[in-house]
Amino acid sequence: MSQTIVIDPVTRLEGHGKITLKTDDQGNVQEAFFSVTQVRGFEKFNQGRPFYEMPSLMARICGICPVSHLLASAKACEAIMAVEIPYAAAQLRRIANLAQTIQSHALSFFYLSSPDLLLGMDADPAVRNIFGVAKAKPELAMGGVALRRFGQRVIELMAKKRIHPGWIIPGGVTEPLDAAKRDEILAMIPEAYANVQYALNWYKQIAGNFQKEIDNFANFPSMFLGLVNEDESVEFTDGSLRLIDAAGNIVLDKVTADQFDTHFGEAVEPYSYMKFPFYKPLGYPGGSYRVGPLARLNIARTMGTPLADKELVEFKQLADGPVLGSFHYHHARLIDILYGIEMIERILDDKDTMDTHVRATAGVNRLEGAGVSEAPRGTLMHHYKVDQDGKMEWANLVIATGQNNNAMNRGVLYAAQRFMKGAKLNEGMLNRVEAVIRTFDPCLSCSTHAFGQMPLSIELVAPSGDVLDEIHRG
Amino acid sequence: MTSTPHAAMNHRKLLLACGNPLRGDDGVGWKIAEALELDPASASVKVIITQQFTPELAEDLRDADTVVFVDASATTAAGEVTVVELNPAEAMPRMLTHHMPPDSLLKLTQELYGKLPQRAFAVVVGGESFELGETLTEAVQAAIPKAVAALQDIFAESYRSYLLCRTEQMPKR
Repeated sequence: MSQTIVIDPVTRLEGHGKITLKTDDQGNVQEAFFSVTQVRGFEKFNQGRPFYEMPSLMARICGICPVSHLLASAKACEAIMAVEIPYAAAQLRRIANLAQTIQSHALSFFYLSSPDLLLGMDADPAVRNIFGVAKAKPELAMGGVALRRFGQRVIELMAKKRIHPGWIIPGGVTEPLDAAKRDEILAMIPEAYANVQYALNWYKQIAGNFQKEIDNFANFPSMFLGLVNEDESVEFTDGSLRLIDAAGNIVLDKVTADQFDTHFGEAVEPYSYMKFPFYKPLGYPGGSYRVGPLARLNIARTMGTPLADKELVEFKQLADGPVLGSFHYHHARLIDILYGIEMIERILDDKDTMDTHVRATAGVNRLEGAGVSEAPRGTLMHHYKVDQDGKMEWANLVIATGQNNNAMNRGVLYAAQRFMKGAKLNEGMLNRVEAVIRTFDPCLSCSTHAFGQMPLSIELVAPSGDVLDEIHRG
Repeated sequence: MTSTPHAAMNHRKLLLACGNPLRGDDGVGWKIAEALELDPASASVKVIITQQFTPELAEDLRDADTVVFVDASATTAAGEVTVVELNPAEAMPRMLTHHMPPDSLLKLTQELYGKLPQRAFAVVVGGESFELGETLTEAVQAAIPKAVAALQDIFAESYRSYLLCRTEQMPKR
């Protein structure tokens, strides 16, 4: 008898998601859907608001990556204003964006994923969490806590608030960085280096224990999208977009934010409020692609900083061409962190970063604007239209996690087909399906702007609607 | 999150306040902490104000001798100020959510660093309305001086007159 298996909600993610698995009469998984069941409506309720409010409003989409939304939104506003922001403002924003990447990746790797990596995917769920990591390998947990704190403290020093800061505004930032704060950040950097390098060394030692997961976690050919600089080094804040295929060939290059809609569309599925972006010439779903740490490292030829470059060389040896297995997002995330620390140090050593001119001013000079940034989870795009008075008429957000939507679905299906057999549910099998999702580090709060909590239950449901088996977590 | 510079003192004092200042009385923790920051006699207290208590606060707890957690409560009477002494949770929680209860945070600090603040308290103010908005209700607004006084007494080590009950957990929402 065919069955429907539902994992709801998925644990150790940002936001709330549900996985539905449908089996055939032999109990083999035939279909898998990763869906988000709630919507918040940020693209709608901003209509009529002054465009310069948008960064502050959009930052509220997420408490983990508000800086990314602030950046993409401010850049869209600056396109409407037709201004170029001062050099110092661009540098300071870059620091804030990298600091956010560091703290977000620290959350993902150390709090959400390291329990699986350290304790094993079949470990008791009661201990397979950050607290279990703290007990089993306290230096790993301490390093994660410290890295998260480093990223948050940098944001706090620059922007006064760790979450939803109002410091990034259309035209630049509200205030420059003073020497005392710069020095405090620089003083924290050696420890940050030590913590990420400890984690990298540890991860590279244990990664081989997960060859089955490496081979089966969303490991398939796909395109990859991300920002790069002119010299093909990775970029998080400016640069232009590049799309490559699974063999590493450049499909699209030097795409600017205002050209995004020309090349990319968004599909909608009935089972989820999260949209499915795709590359238009290949249609949906053939034009699906991946974004985020794995994409960035596949697209860039270099990181542009010495320690991260050394890691990138090693990373690229994982495959002949782009690294396709999504398990390697974990590794890429750590390299992102290392790069972020190096780049923050480099920017702070630039005396022009300390300039006090940090804001450009202008009114409405265009009726449409778009801005792109690399959020921790991947490329983020904000696109706005305003009237002559600068009141918002329309907004579209293309979120990083949404761009990984199709890949996550495929990943869930692959993992379920390989790790789930028979009609008996068990934690280890279900956790591997969840773990696939976690490699992408999705932020469902952004993608659908979800909220709320749901009781955890996993049901095995027959097509008739009868509940054949169930598991409850939490 | 905002924090004040940590003055070098023999007795290290930490105030952790949480809440959402856009949800009515849920922002009372912020107001209490900001009021304490204005008190010159409390200059040695390190104040951290945040939306939620998260694991990385364990580093600050590691370095503290006295810690007070400040938050609103949806289960006590509006405007009622409750002071409870805290112990670390007996077991780690199974799930990590966005928010860690103070006793779990104490437990995490103990597990990670092998040390704890000598004294840990919670000062909780009952809330009446948690609707969207930045304004506190009258009863909650009126409770701020009493909450601040409780904090001042705790940090001045004359807390016994405010010790109402001993429990292992803060009142649940």
